[in-house]
Amino acid sequence: MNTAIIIAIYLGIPFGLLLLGYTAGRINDRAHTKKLLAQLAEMDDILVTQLKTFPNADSSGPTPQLVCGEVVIANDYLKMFLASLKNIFGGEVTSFISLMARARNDVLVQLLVAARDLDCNAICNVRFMTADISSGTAPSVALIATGTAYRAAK
Amino acid sequence: MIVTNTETVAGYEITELLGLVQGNTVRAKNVGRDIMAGLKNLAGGELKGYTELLTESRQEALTRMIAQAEQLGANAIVNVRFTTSSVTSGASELYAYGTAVKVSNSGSEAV
Repeated sequence: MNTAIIIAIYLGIPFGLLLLGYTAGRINDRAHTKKLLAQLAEMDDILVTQLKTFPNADSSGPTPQLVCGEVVIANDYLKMFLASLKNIFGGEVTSFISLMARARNDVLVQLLVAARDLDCNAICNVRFMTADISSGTAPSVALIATGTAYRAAK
Repeated sequence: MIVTNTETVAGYEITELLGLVQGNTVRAKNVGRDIMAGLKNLAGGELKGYTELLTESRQEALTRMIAQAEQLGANAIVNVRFTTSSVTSGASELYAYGTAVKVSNSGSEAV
C-alpha cells in the first residue's frame, strides 16, 4: 500500500508538471503570439531597417534617438522535457524555435512602440542580442534589441 | 544629449570627435525573483522580474555613459553598442559603449 502511494507520487508529480506545462504553456504561447502579431500588423507603417545610414530621412523631424527593448521569457516544462528528449538523438529543437521567435517579436514591438512615442515613423540600425542570464536551473531566453528612431519622408 | 546607435545623426554634422565613453553595471537577481522565475519555468511565459532587471541595468549603463560624455563636453553619443556577460552565476553585467562627439545642425537635407 505504502509503495503504491510512493510510486503514485513519483510518477504523478512529473506528469502533473508536464500537463501544467502543456496547458499553461500553450495558452501563454498562443495569447502572446496573437497579441504580438496584432501589434506588429498595427504598426507595419513604421520602416524598420538594419542599415547604419538613415534611409529616406526627413531632417525636419525630431532628433534621432536610441530606442531599446528587452524581454526575458521562460520555456514551459513540457517543452523543456521535449527538448531534453531531442538532445538524445540530436536535430532541430522545434520547441525552442517558437520561443525565440516570440522573444524577437516582443522586443521588436517594444522598439516600434518607443519609436511611435517619440513621434518617429522609422527605425534604422536594428540590432538583436541575447543576454545569458539563466542560471542552469531556469532555462530562459533574454533578448535586447536596439535601434535608432527617426522621421522618414513619406 | 543625442544618443543613437548609428554612425551619423540625420540632420546633424559631426564637428568634433571626443572619444570612447562607456558605462557598465552588474546586477544580481535576488532570491525572491529566482524562486518566482523557477516557478514560472514550469508554465512558461515572460519572466517580468528579470525583464525589469534588464531594463534597469540598461538604463543604469546608459546613464553612466551619458554622464561620462557630458564630462567631456559632448552633446551626442553615436554608434552605441551593448554587450552582456555573466560574471558569476546569479549576476550579469551590462556594458554600454559609444563614441562621444560634438554635433551641429547641418541645416542641409540629411543623407
